[in-house]
Amino acid sequence: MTKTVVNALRSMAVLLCIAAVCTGVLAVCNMYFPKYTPKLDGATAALVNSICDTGVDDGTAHADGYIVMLDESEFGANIADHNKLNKNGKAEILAVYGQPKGINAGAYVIESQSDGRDGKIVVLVAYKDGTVTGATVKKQGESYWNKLPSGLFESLQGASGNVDLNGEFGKTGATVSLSAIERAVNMSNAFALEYNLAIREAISERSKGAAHD
Amino acid sequence: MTKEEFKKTALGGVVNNPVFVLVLGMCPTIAKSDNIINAVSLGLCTAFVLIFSNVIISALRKLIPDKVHLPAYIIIIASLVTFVQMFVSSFLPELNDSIGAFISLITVNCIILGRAEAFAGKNKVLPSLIDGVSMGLGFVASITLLGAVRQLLTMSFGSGFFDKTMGGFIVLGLMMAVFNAIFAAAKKHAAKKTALIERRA
Repeated sequence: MTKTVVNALRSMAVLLCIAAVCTGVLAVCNMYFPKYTPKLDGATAALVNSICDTGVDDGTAHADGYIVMLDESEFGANIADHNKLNKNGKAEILAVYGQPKGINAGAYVIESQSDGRDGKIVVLVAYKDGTVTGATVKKQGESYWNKLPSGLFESLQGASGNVDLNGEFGKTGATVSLSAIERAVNMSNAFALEYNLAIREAISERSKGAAHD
Repeated sequence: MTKEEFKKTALGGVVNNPVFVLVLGMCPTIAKSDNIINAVSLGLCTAFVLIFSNVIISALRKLIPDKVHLPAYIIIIASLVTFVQMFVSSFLPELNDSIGAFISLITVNCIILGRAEAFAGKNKVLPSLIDGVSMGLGFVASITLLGAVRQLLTMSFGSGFFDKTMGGFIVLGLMMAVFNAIFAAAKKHAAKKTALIERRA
């Protein structure tokens, strides 16, 4: 074997070793680092209240049970299975929040996520009687977020099926982010269409529970 | 490592300040120095990557063949950046929302690759660690100072100029001029002092 071939093989072996060690360390970190899990904290309650008004201030809505986080068993769904079945949609359902009391009692908000340009974009979509009443973003770290068209989330009001945000807004300079929002909203809409009645019944049960308390 | 070498390496962050003297890593420096929190956070993330990449590269310098040293450095730096990104998104999600997009850009930050190429790849682990700490702190200090000045100016004159890219460049330029003027004056003063001592001797 010539010296050149030996050197080339040695270079490749060193690069492969470095890459393997780095990948291994990162894989271990990925296993142990906590993942994003949806929870109903003060900030989430404020966002939910902004897209689906409870009629009370954010603090009261959060503390006094105007907004609750529904467990998937309450509306007979298995979110993990649903996400697996619909993985072609490239978006995931994360959680469902309901409003057992307040001026929009019976409304609910679905939290979903999809991959944007710089990580996950988490979107909240509010529904009343099966149609969208409001939407907002909960989490994003996109570079070109300010290029998104103004009035994007307002344009979703009244929607119930698939939305075509790219078709509606055309070139924006934030195509990847817009597509991610579109996927997340469409996933939420599909979930709402499938579980609308069950979610409303679950909220109604929560209302009765709250009334008894 | 002699005392003189240690002094020279440790003062590298001031004498060869990455922002004010070497003018490296301008993209994140301008983009994320619009307020002090973003500036400190990005500075610390960069310093972490710089210190550890210097140490790892220095430790592996004899194993890495010269012909593939750049791809090897990039793999090490990118892995450290990925680790930082995973850490920030897991433990500091709010910070990730504001500087997350710029963390991945640390991989191509000239300061890190520059120090790896110019120093860590040619020196032992301890000097490389000192160089990383010195340069890292130099970067944190300069980006923090820039962030503080821009935030103060934004608070005084309102948003729309000093918190934008154009204002950032102007503030950076002025601060660079002030830093270099002070540094030149200090150098002149030190030279005068040395000459005086020599003459007396």
